[in-house]
Amino acid sequence: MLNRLLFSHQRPAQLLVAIFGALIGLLLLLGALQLYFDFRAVLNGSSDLNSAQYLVINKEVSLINTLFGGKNGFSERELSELKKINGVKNVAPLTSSQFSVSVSMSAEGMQGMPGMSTDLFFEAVPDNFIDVEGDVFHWQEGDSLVPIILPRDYIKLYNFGFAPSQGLPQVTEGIVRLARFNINIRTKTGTNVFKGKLAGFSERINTILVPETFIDYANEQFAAIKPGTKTPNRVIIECEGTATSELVDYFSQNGYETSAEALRNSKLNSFLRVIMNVLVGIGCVILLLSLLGFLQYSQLLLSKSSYELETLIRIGYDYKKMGMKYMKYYSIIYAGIYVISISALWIFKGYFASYLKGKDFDLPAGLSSSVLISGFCFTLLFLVINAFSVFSGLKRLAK
Amino acid sequence: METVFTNSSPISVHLQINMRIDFKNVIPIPLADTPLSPDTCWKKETILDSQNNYLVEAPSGTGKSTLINIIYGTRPDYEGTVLLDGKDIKDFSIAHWTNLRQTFFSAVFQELRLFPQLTAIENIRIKNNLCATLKEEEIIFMAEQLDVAHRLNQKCGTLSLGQQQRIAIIRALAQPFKFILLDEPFSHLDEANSRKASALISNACQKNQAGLLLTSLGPNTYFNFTGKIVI
Repeated sequence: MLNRLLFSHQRPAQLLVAIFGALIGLLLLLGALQLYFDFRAVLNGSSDLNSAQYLVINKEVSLINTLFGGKNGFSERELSELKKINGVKNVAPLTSSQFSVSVSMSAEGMQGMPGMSTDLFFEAVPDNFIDVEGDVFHWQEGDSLVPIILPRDYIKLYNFGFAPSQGLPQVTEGIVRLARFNINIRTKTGTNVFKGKLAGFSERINTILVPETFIDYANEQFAAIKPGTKTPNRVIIECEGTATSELVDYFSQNGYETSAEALRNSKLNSFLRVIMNVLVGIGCVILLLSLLGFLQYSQLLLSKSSYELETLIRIGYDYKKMGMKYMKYYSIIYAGIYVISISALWIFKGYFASYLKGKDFDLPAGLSSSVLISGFCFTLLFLVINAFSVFSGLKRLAK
Repeated sequence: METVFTNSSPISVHLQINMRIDFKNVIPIPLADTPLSPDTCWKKETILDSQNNYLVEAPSGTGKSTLINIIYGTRPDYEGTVLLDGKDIKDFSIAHWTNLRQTFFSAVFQELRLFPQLTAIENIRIKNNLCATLKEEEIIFMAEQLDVAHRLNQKCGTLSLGQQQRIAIIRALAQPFKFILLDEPFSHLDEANSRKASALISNACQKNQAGLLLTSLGPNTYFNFTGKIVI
């Protein structure tokens, strides 16, 4: 009976618009949040899809350097500056060989391959930067075989560029791994020969790598350069995820160069962030509008029912009890909005996840608890604001 | 609630009362500039108590409803002080007024203030549910007395003014009270119904040991008025 009086001036259409707005707004906002939590792994680089990014940087080679032989190396200070940048996990110099070296392969070295020899250079990075699987990339003094890592691109260059033009057969990674070759280090006093074998291919570092222990040993032995005394020309950076824009800016400010391809992810990254921010923004605006819609609706209901409310108050009804009746009603609506938007999001997420699964991309299942909690908090905040509006409106009538 | 006081008012004659309303220099702001009659209750010390029946007989537009609304706490636009058992009613909280209207003051409003979308009996029940005073048979008995029993299940909005007035009177009796405020309660009733309604009201007042204040455009002979208020 009391409810019939309190709600006798309902306008369902207006209420539906407000409910619809709140649903869309909450869905967008929570969807963006969920997207954020799902891709945070990707964006911050803790998923295996896009693990920590490695960047090899060097200083720009200028004409002046070329003509006058200016220094192009990274100083200790510059290295420690790099380490301080947000998103940088580790920084290490690439140690390059300071001796002249050639690699030769005798005709017996590999079935069907002609004998060949080529001048080369080596570089080395600390072991923790190596992305070749297996425990094969080690060398210590006295070892007969020196493991070498080549960029994966090299075998493609050979197979599709060099081999056809020279009438040579194409090779597979497996075949190349079987090859044994001589590493000839020439010094003033003669040539030192080591045996070499291919330990693997790297996509991370675009250079010819040998173990750091070997470079240090050979530099000291054959070029009389003690380890760590030569300023490195190239530096490898391990990022916590894709390179941050801060890092990219730092590079351009200091004239450091890196592969543009490597930074593409960070552009994609910031693009994703922009999209999410836009989604959050739109969700917030819609949610705010729907909150206003609800407030307006509840105020309208109060003012349309002002005769009933005033009369009830006059015959001794407690305005707080009437307010509780209204709030019970709105709580049910808000709870419905919460449940519906969460379940809609859950369904969307399911579709999205199965779509991405077809693309070899595993999203964590279900919704994150943070999304559930923030959705609940938003709903609660709505309820509190609405309750405040209803009770103050009723109190005005009761005075 | 027992108060002993020396009566200085020309209206109240009882020394021992249960409840007392003091008007101290009260004047409704809209009446502030109009000339007042010499024996008016405005701008004076006027005392009402719950052991008397008061008649406020005056032409329309002189502030009868205003007087009732001031006592009932629904009109704050007056100068002066109204005390209920010595306490300024302007200091009462909303909750206190709610309590007073459930247990202390009952009222039949001039504009009746029924709910047109509810049936007649629902209009009575909505008050009775709150105060749990009348049994269902008592409601029906009263409705029979006032000749509206056959209309109880009809929407109030479809009843005649006279019928609505009788429903409003029954509703006012569906609560305990110490003072009942009747604002032209019989304006749409014939003499027979007025007399029956008065009997019901008097009965209830007796049962509740309550006072009564009735406003009327003309003389009213249905009650034993012990006090008269001129405005």
